[in-house]
Amino acid sequence: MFFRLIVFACCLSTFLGAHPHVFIDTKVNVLPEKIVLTWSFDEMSSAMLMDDYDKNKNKKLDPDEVAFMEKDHFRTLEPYTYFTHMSDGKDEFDLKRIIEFNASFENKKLIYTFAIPKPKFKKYELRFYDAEMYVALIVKKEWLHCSDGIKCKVESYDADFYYAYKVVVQE
Amino acid sequence: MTLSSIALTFAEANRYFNTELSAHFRAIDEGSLMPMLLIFALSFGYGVVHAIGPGHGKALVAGYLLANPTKRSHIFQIGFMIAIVHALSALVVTLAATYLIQISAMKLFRQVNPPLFQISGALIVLMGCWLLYDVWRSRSITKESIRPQKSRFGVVVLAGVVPCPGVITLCFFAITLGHITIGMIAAVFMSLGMGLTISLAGLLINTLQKARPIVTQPRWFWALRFIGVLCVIALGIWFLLNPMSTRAF
Repeated sequence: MFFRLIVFACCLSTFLGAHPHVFIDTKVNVLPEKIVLTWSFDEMSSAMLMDDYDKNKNKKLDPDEVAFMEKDHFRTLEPYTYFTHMSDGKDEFDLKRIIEFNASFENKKLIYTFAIPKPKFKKYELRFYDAEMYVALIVKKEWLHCSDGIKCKVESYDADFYYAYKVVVQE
Repeated sequence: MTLSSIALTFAEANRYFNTELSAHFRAIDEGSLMPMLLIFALSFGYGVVHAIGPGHGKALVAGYLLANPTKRSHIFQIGFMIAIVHALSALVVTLAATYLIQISAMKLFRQVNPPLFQISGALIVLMGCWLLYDVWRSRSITKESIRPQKSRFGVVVLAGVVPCPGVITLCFFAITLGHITIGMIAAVFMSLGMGLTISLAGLLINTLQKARPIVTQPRWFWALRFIGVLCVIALGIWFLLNPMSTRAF
């Protein structure tokens, strides 16, 4: 037991090389026709991203800056399926289609808003995690909104070593 | 309690320190001394919590200490020096990015960290091979005759040279608000917090080494050292083959 503990501790640490540096408050709005996600970055990460993308330094994101940010930053997260993993409870599906992206800078925080089409399942889960663990996505009960007739709840997602929350939706 | 729930608590704790630090940095301009003192205290706490997560050289230190038992005072020396090198490296990157090269810290971080990570991995493999030779050579020696080696300073550099993104973020935020000096002092406090966590991880290994079966059985002791070396080499290979992501975050 003693040796196993040591080996486990060393191997575990070996295979995990990262920890969260970016914190995103994730708001989920399940509408009848789509799901709208709102990411609110922590202030420190917001400052770093604004330094890169607020070219004219007016502390606002103009339409051309938003377009560049979408292309240069947001869309590069596609291989990470935008940290949003749809599941029918068994398999996970990557997000293929993102619509209505917008970015803004409010109350010293960078905000990303985008929508995803709804899946065909009646019951599904939205799991929010970054498999590389650089980003921690936080979901709270008060940040979840579902349209009438749709039941949803926030739970922790028990995939060991991921900092994960999930939203379970029942149409 | 599952590992996932521990991980969530850890993430929430990191977020708490991150949010509080941001708020107190903004409060500095109100002229009171309190926000500054709170920043230093919070930075220390952030360092402690931040370093609990994977990374920060704990696995390397654990493997090294298994392979190369040393005094408790040396463990603290290793832990704090790793954290200070880790933070200094981040400070250099941030200051160079802002004042020398004048590109965003984020961009420089993306360009600097992945190759540093790999170079560090290659050097860790080399150090692991040297430790392997040392452990193999001393397979009949008991614990009492093991002497702490000077190579611990090599571990410090190898484990700490990759800049800490947490410190980069903190310093860059301080610079954008015009509080660079406070940001640099906060980085020092953060590194002290990280040093404490790394040292405690090392101390845990040291305590395990004093378990009865290890102390009384030289073969077990040697086997433990051998496992430690393998962990160090495995860690180096992992760094080498899996460079950090170059994505924005």
